[in-house]
Amino acid sequence: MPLAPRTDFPLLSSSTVRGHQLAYLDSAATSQKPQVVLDAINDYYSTSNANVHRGAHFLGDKSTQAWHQARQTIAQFLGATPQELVITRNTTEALNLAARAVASSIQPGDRIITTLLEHHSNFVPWQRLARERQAELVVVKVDKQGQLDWDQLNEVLASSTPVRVVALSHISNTLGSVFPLSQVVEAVRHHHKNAVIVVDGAQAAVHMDVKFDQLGVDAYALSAHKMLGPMGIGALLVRRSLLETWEPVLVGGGMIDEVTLEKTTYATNLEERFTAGTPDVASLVGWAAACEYLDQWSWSQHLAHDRELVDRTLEIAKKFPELEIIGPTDPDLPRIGSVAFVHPKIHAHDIGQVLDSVGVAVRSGHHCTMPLHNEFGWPASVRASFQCYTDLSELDALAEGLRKVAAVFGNL
Amino acid sequence: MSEYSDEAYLDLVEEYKQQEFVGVLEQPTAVVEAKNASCGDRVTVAAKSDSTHLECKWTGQGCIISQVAMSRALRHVQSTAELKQVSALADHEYLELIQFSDLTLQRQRCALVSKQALERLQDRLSDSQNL
Repeated sequence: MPLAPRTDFPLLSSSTVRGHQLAYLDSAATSQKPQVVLDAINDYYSTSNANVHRGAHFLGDKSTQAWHQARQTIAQFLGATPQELVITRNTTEALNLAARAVASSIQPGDRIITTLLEHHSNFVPWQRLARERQAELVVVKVDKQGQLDWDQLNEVLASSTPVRVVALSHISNTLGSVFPLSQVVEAVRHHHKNAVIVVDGAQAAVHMDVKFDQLGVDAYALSAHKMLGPMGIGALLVRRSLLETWEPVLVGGGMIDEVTLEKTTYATNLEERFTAGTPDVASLVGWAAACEYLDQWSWSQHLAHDRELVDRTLEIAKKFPELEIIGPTDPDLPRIGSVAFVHPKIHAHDIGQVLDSVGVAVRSGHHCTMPLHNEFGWPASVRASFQCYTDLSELDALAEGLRKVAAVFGNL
Repeated sequence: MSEYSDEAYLDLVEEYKQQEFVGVLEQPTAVVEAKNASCGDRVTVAAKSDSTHLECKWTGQGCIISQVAMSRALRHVQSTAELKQVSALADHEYLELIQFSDLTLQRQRCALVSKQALERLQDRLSDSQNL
């Protein structure tokens, strides 16, 4: 049984693909949305639509209240305060914002640390920043199970060269491996107290209890659409005392204190200071509804359900001897949300297409982790990923699809 | 081809195993590469040409669609005039020519790696003739 009733998700409960019941195993790319999220967005536009913080009229007030209520709900869900919640379009924009915001603190020769398994969204902004500021980008290696090369990290941290930024993901979108954030934070702080630790939490926030105030990191990026909310909205959580020192990256409407011909001063209220232009209130309201929906179950229930799906998928993949499972297979290592594999002869796209022919939706490609794929010589991989609505019967469909792959490509 | 029958895919696998025009050329006039950034499909095409004659050989790696597309495309590119004509086709016309007109949008990108290579080849050859 899935954790969340399939009937809560209109698309999942009604869709067939090429005559087969849809098996949606691509939730790490984006999650499906429950009816309560769709209703919240529709209700906002049907009953409350007006610009926020602008008109002194009934609807303007109602919309502004909806905006602040949603901010409160989302911040609380993530263990942050509304002042620490900077709304963006998605995780990528959040990480770019972090890179822009810290840019002026980077001096030539300083170090920016990231890891080999990062999504391009947590790699390219830092690579560009390092080039622009003549800083050194240090890419910490990982093994095929997604485990950090601690020798390399400790060596870099022990050096006297200043480390300004450490950017890493919470859960790998490709390997499903989990970085031990508390250990990384301890190691970084021991040597470089003021390094800004930025975490890509896109894959984590829907699977585990993310409480920003307990992580010890400085910034945490995430997207609503990975956690049952709408596309086009995300956030960067930033430790308040740090955010107070950041120059706004976007300037213009709604975030000012005073504008004269000579100069502009920005709003001192952080919620306003980092919200330039008319925000996407409906999507934020939808995101808040998603957080409330997810909150129906404890995080131990979420994790237990995910573990069952991961274990079953690993079992299925192991029945196809030529498939190489990538990411943690050692039962002592955490793996959350997905299982990916490569085949020595059959390209991931071809596997994906045959799976699609029996209604199974998986991701095939490099999942925006080209450096990781290149390091291990994987041209592309196939990833099955899960959510609270994923049912074991969908994994039976995956197994059937893989049998078809073996039959079609058997003599390749 | 958005809905593959098992037979259609098996035929494609057979075609993949017997690709045409595969190889390298000694002293080519031009060598071009093209790739699909989303999955690592890549092809390298080498050509020898004068004002009318054209000989192409290619190598590559990637999914079946990207590789079969290159093999099929070169059947239609046997002269400089044909290269000019084929590389100038709109994407949908090109996909029709190489019998991949029913692909999903994502798989069209795989098939169009071959067109990207032919466009680059046309550019390179016209540059070298202008010199």
